[in-house]
Amino acid sequence: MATYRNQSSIRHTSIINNANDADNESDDEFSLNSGSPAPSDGGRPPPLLYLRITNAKVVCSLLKTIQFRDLATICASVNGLKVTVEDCKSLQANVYLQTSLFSQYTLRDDEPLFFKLNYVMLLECLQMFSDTEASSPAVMELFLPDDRSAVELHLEDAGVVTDCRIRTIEPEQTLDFNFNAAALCFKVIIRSEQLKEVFSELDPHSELVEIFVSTERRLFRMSTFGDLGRGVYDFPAESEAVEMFQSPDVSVAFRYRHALLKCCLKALQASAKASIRCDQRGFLSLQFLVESADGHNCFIEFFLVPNQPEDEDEIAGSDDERH
Amino acid sequence: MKFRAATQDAGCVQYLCKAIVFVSKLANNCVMRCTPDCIYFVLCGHTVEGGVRVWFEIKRDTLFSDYSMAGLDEEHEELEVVLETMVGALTKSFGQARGLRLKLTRRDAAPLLQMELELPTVLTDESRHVTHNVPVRVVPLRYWGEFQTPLEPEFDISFYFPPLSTVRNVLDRMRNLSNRLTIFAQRSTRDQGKCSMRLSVTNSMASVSTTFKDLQLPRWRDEPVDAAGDVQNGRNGDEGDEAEDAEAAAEGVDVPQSARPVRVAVDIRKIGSLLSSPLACPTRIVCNLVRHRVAQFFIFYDEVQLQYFIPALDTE
Repeated sequence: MATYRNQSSIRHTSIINNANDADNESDDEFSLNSGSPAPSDGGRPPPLLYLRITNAKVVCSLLKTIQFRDLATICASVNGLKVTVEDCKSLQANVYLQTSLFSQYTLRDDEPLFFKLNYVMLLECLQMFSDTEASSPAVMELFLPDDRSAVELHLEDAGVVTDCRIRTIEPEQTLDFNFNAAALCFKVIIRSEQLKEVFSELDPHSELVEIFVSTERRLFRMSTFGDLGRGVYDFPAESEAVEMFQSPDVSVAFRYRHALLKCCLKALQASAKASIRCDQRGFLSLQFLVESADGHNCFIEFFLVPNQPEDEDEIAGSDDERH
Repeated sequence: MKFRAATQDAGCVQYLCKAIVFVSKLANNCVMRCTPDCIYFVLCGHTVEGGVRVWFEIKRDTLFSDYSMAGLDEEHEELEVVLETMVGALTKSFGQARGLRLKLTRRDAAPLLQMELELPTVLTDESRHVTHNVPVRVVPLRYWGEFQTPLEPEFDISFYFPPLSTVRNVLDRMRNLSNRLTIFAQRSTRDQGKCSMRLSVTNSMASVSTTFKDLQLPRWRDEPVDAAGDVQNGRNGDEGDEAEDAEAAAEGVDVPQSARPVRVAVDIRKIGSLLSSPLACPTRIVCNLVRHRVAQFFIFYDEVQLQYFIPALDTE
């Protein structure tokens, strides 16, 4: 991705220089006997973003569900954090962490902040305490300092303290799919318990997955096209698993790349319900509701672009079978 | 030269086999040193295996019911054993072994360590005996000096390592960032009897440090006690960095020698294999650091004791 390289090349060279310096840090700078840094360290301007959460493991497990690529863009606004991971302009995943989830959330300037970092590194840091029992609360503090050069994390669990510094990358504009929620083609809400079984059973050899919603028969169908045959999974509107069924004006079918749908599986498995909405162009919006013990529900959202008809010349399957 | 050891207790056999498997992961080629009281597996790596030094001690009383040896000078006997072969002999069957017998024998003038396992049969109560003959080499007398019991080590700081469960997870995560782990330790200024340890890794994208506070300091024999009556943990820092002294002087900070932080950089994979042991949780782990030279780990289990020295990645 050319733009990425040009914008971030300067920042990266300075990063490499600094990496060597870190090793030579003077022992005197290292003071184990002092406490954690206060949000506004004497002399430094206050951070652009400061947040604190008392149950970091919950956030960690949520963020792990969208880790299918190495980089993530984080947007911090007065409503909370939105963590975005994208793949090749065809898939976008967002985790929304509302302000109420945090025990403290301070955004210095009121306008939204964007920053981008290596997602794998962030998750490694957050998982430092993932082995201990879920009951022991892990406190996490996150600072984005004024110069935006790095994100600083401070995690504490049972007396063990971890400090992380993850360098940021020039953020790029995240994709806007122009999803028109007001003019939906169809909307279906299905319980995750049943939907995830179907997702995990989809034929792995099928490159495409077709979603077909029938107006006449009021059903939601997922189909696969593999070498050995076709798999068909139907959710009728009357079934217990389907909580809501808003049918399209006429029956529609769209196909999506299986590899992209697979990226949604972890989020689906963590969720209680899934809302599947489609707009007139076939762009799919999957929203997963994750319920947590203390009543703070979180949303994970995926946008998928449908496969274009000219890309699927060799897929078998007659049109008659649909009706 | 004679050596014979045996145990009829299934629990002891299991333990011994697990211990040997564990040591073989740390040091494949070992010298097995037999004395009247103990069996030791020693690897004195200078350039071999990155310079790691392993010392594994098994006391005869705890595990063996029958033990006798007669060495060259009635005191010692040293054999060089390739542990991988021993492990190969043991892994498949030790789960049900009821007894183990070790014996030094000879076939065609080549020395062998004969390992006889007593295993149950499926249908009857009788046991079957499986014998493995592991080729060994006897270490000549002139090299025995290398395998002597090490004296009390010199260190800059010594402390009890924090509980394995926490450290293991942290190290597993850190291993994904970089192979180079820096260990810092410093005595607490508030409480002289405690110290803190910090583990840190850095790569081009991130740097992570984890700090463990309030770690106890063990007492070593023959440790000097200073005027206040406190045990002076570690050397006086006579050989400390000139650079550190200069910086401290420049800042006008009068940091007592024993409170200066000690830093050692090691390969994280070596510590990882040490801490993932098939034996039950160790009762204590003591960690000694020699500034920029070596990280020494003393791991005490119920029946056995392991010393593992990891050299620093860069000596200054």
